[in-house]
Formats: sequence, structure tokens, C-alpha cells
Amino acid sequence: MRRTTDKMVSHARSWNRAFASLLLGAISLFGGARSFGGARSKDAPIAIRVAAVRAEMLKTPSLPGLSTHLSSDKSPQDVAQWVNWLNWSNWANWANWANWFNT
Amino acid sequence: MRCLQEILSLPQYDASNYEGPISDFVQLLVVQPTPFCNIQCDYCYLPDRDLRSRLSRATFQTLLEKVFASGLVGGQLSLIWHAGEPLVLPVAYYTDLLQVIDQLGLPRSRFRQSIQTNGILLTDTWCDFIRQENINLGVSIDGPAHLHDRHRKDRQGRGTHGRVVKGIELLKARGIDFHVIAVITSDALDCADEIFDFFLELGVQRLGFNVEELEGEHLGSSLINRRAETRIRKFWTRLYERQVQSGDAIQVREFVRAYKIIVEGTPLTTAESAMRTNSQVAPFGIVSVDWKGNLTSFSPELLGLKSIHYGDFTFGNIHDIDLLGLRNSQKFNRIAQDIYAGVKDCARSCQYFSLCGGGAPSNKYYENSSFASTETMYCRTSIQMPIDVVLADLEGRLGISRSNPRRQVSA
Repeated sequence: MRRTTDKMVSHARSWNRAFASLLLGAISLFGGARSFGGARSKDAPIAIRVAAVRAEMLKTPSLPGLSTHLSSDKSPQDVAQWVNWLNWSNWANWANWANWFNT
Repeated sequence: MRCLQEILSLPQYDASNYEGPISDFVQLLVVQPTPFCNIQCDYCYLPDRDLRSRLSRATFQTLLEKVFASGLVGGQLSLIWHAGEPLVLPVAYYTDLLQVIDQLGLPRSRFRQSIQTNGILLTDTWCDFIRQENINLGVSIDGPAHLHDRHRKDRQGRGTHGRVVKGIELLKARGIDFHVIAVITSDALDCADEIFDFFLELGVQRLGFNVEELEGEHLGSSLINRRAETRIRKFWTRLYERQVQSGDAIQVREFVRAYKIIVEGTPLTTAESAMRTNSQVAPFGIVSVDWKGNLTSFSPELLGLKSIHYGDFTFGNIHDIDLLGLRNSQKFNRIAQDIYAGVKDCARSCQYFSLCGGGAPSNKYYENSSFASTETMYCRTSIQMPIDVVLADLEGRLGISRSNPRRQVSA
């Protein structure tokens, strides 16, 4: 009887472990997908966020930081250099070729 | 294990021809002058790096004749010397090769040449040539010596950092504009500040980061795990903070690209629109040719690589076929169709699609074992994360709520 009980307890422990592993796996998968898929779950979809930024930027044409180079306080030469670089490396091209320069 | 995975996921080929759009223009012509490289980076994906063969003048001439005869050249053609270290061949070799352009009656201004070099062999003669040809130059250096020398060693196993810095100093002394590309491996992820400071001190103004990938000969990456991706996100965030704090003294390619896409990019809504924008997924958007004249399209990394599904990615040899004749290749049709299917899946499933346009086929193939697949580590780490970082910053500056931007804007 005792051996049977031991066996049952052992089985139960195994099942518990398996169930716990499954549960943890599911949680980590779900959580992982949320965490690493890009935007966080609390965020609105990217396209909506981008649209909102664009709409707001129309009201605020000059932002510091990356857009500084497009503002009028830069010399024409600075602006030309910046624009040339961006043109040359427009996002599609830049995204493409620069990806594979691991030499 | 990898082979087993590939066998289990063999795609079912459709014998029908590719039905998607092709690129209006060849946007990039990638030419391999030689497969040889003078150094042995441990993350390099290129095969045949010991081979000292070189592209012949006759092959280069045939290539240009056929590319221009195809009607797929727009105003300016980007010509990139790549897939080996271009500077192992002498300047005289390129001078001779470029005379072909004159012989064909093509103005040099129709070409925008680019070279990505490890910088070790830069000399005054090279500087003269680079300036004379107005070559867009990139130098590969991974940051401070202790990070760079761990992976970028010469054929004797010695670090190359000192020699690369010397090359960069020469470029600066000669007033030659250049950008830098750094490969980010696991050991670099905790060193964002140190890396940024290093490049700032070196006088680098344009900097791109390639997150170590799983491709071609490089069958493992120190970053293929979820924990690493959390660290990569932190790395990007810190770099962005530093870029902003520095007043854009260094412009990081990934942030500039993300900013451009967010602020100015045309939102992509369908696979077809993406195929016309993302030249890596559209047939003939990128044409790559090896030193023998073998041709491929799509991701340039595919040049010379082997595949259990397709044998290799060569669609033909320029001496045997016209450029558009590649469309008659069964392999071309299979691969184009698979890539197209992958882009359509991206359009259906990825919220970044409107900003990305379907990802990078080579990464899909080497990470997911199929072109007809979607998200990769490259997507997450090099496209999505920089977009997340820049978008969050813009929202913060503009006072937009991330969770409910509509309400904020309408208010």
C-alpha cells in the first residue's frame, strides 16, 4: 500500500513538474512574444503612433535632435551634405546594402 | 541539427512562374572584384575568402553592356565593390577596369561608386583615387581595440585595430569623407558609452551598426537568444541618448533611417508597394555579380552561398544570358516566388510592415530556413528596435500619449 502511495506521489510530483514546466513555458512564450515582438502591449499600433507623430509635427515643424540639420540655422553647405547623405542612403537603399557589409 | 531543420521545412515548390512585380530600376549593382580578404573576421559570412581570383575586364565590360541594355538603369547607378576586400587589388586594376565605362561611352557621372573596406590597406595612392573617383567610402571598425581585436584578426591571428585607426587617420588628414560600420556582438552590448566615446574621439560623423547575424558561412551568432535582445534594446536606447546629447555629432544610421521613415516615409500598405520600395525583395532591385560573372539578385549576401533548397543562388552567368533573361531561370522563379510569399506574409502579420516593406530575404532564409517566412532577429534588432526608440522619443517631445495617441492628438 505504502509503495503504491509512494508511486502515486511520485507520479503526482512528475505531473506537477511537467504541468509547471508547461505553464512556465507558455508564460515565457506569451511574455516573450509581447516583450520582444517590438512594441509593448500597452502601446497603440505602430501605424497609429506614427500618424499621430506626423500630425503633431505639422504643428511643431522644428524639433531638436535629428531634425536640427534640416532647420535653417545650418549653413547651406551643412544642409546640402546632410541631404545628400540622406538621398544617397535613402531608407530603402540604406536598409538594404548596409545590412550586409560585415567585411 | 541545422540540416535536419532545413529538411523538415522544405518548401513545396510551385512550378508556375513568378507573378509579382519587378523593380523599375537596378538600384544597386554589387560587383565582386575578388573574393579574397586579407583578414579573417570570425563573424564573416563570405565564402572563398582565400581565393585570389579577380574579375576580368572582359567580364566587367559584358556586365555593364548588359545591365545598360536591359533598360533597368535610372539616372544614376550605384556601383558597389564588395564581397572580399576591394583594396587588396591595386589602384591600377580599378583604373584599368573603369576605362571600360569610357569605352562604352557612358559618362562617369552615371555611376556612384562605393567601397566598404577594412581600412588596413589605405594609402595616399588610394586616397587620391578615392577622391578622383568621388567614391563613397565606408570603413569597418567595431569600436575600441578590446572589442574590435576580439573578432577582426588578420591571417596571423593578430588584432587589426591599430592598422585600421591608422587608415582612418590618413583619411582625416587627407580630408576624405567616410562613414563607419561597426558589427555588434554580444561582448559589445554593455559598452554603448565606450563605443560612442571612441567614435566621437576618432572624429566619426556617420556610424552604422550591424548586429551580428546568422548568415552564410557564419552559422552561429552570439546574439541568437531572447536575453540578448533585451540587451540590444538597451544598447540602442543608450546610443540614442548619446546621439541626442552630443547634438548629433555622430549620426547613427539606424536612428536616421528610423527618423526618416517615421517622419517622411511613404507608408507601405501592400506587398506590391513594398516590392517597389524595398529593393532587396524586388527582382533586379539589387543585382550582384561575382568575379566569374555569376549573377544573383535580392540580398547581396546570397552571392556565392550554397543552399540545401536551391543548390546555390546563382541564376546564370553574364556571359551566357541577358540580364532580363534571368527571368527564364527556374531557380529565379522559385526564389522570387518564395520571397514574394514572405513579403505578403509580412504585410499580413507584422505591424512594422508599413515602415519596413518586407525585411531582408537572406536573413529570413538563414534564420527561418525559408524565404517564404516573416520576422527575423534582423527585423527585431535592426529595424523594429530603432523605430521604437526614435518613435518613443518623438512622442515624448511632442507630448503624445503612447497608449492613446489619437485622443492626445485630437485634444
